[in-house]
Amino acid sequence: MKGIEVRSLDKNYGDVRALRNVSLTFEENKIYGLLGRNGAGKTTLLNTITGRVFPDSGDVLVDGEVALENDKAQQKIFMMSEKNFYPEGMKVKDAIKWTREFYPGFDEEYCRNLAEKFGLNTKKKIKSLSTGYGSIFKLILTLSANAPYLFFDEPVLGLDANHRDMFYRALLEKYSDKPFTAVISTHLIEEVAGVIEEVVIIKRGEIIRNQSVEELLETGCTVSGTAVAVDSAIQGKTVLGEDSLGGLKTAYLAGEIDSSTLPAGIEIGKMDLQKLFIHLTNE
Amino acid sequence: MNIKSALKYQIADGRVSIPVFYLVIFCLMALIPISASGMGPEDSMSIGGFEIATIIFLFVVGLNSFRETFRMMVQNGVSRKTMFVSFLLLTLVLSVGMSCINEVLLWIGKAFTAGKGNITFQSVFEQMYAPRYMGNPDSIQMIAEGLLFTILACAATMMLGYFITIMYYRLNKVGKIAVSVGVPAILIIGLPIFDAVVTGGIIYRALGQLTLFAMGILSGYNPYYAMVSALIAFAVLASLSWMLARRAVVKD
Repeated sequence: MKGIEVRSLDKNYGDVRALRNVSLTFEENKIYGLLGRNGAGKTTLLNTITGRVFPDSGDVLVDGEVALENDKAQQKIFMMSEKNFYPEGMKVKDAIKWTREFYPGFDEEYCRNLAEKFGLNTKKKIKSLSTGYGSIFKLILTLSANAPYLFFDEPVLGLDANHRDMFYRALLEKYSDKPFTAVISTHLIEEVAGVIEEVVIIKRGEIIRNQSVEELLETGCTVSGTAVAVDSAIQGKTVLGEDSLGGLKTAYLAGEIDSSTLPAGIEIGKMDLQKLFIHLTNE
Repeated sequence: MNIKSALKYQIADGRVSIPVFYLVIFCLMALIPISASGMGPEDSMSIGGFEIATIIFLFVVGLNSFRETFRMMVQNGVSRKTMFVSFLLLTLVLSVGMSCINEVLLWIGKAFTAGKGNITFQSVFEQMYAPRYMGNPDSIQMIAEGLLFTILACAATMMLGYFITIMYYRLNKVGKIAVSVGVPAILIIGLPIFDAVVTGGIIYRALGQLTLFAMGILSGYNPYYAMVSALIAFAVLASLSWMLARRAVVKD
């Protein structure tokens, strides 16, 4: 079977249950958003899949092969971590050289072009890069690795709006050129909402949602209009959140709403992923 | 494929330190003619022990071969097993390579000092096992045995450095402090006092005898005892290192 299959993963750090019976599949050629609050277990999940930490129980299969301590399986994954795993004294160009050595599919020309686009100086030492350029360096390596499964853990940490936009564009261009599986773990939900197809929401180590963004957004809707009209329309409904500006209001509702019962001047819109996320992950 | 890449990476890691090491050795050797020119007929000079410098160098290489390499390997999808096997190969490559270079340096040194009766150029191996080669110095047997001895000593010492660094990596803060303070305290203070006061010197005498036995000195200056001892030490340290490395996890 193609894809990454996670089966009943459990991981504890002392008294903290970082992962609880996590089972999911990252299918081939899809872009996933791995969403969760701080400490929800996103990084632990990715670290466990890539063998950086050991699970207490459970298995991970990559294309049907056990992933733990399996070079062949791990070579199919490239993970961009929030932390730097490269020797601090190493230069960017040397990191590129060594990634090419370990990942034979590494596209050096693409990497150099991307570095030029982002303005990354490849002669610099990794430790001398700013937070933003540290992220850019890792992003470029990940996109250039040409592995079938790419993990991005907080990929836009420290990036300005222009660089963030460039990253999302580069990701989508690469994906449309030759599809792969991308898992993006991030807090910036609004930004990735337009990029991801599938969403996995993790809360206190448990997967609470694992479905397509479209399906998830269909579980709710927005109701907009004048404050008075909206207030009357949402009476008795499960309200996930509200935004008000002047006399106008938008309410985020769980479940569907019958438009024929609504007063005039009320508009029904698509649910907002971030609002839904906040509702689902609130303690 | 991965083992080859991992080995290449680890060899490349020493691409600066190894040439610098030999540059220093070369400079030291270049000082010999200068020192010799100032010697009078009554003076004598003994030069050697470069293999001890190599052994210490490889111990330090072992000490520096885990943390950064482990993170780099994990980042690049290399398993702990592959990383460990590549380190074993690195140990082999460096021990054999540097021991051979030492042998060549020894040969050059001897060639330069030949005929100068008051200057002797000897390896530590020759000095230790001199009685075995009495009347037959510089024989093929002595060169081969010396080379084998140095290779195994280098490998065991490098593995000792590797074991120490992994042990420290795996220990928590309290464990690190306990080992850093406890081991020297026992070896430098506790054991000598205990041996002197309680056991009347038996422990140190036994340790001395054990060392002489392990080095083959008690068995007619037989270097094969030392080689087997080094091989056993290497095997034990490698096994312990693997037990620690196989469950190592990435730390922030």
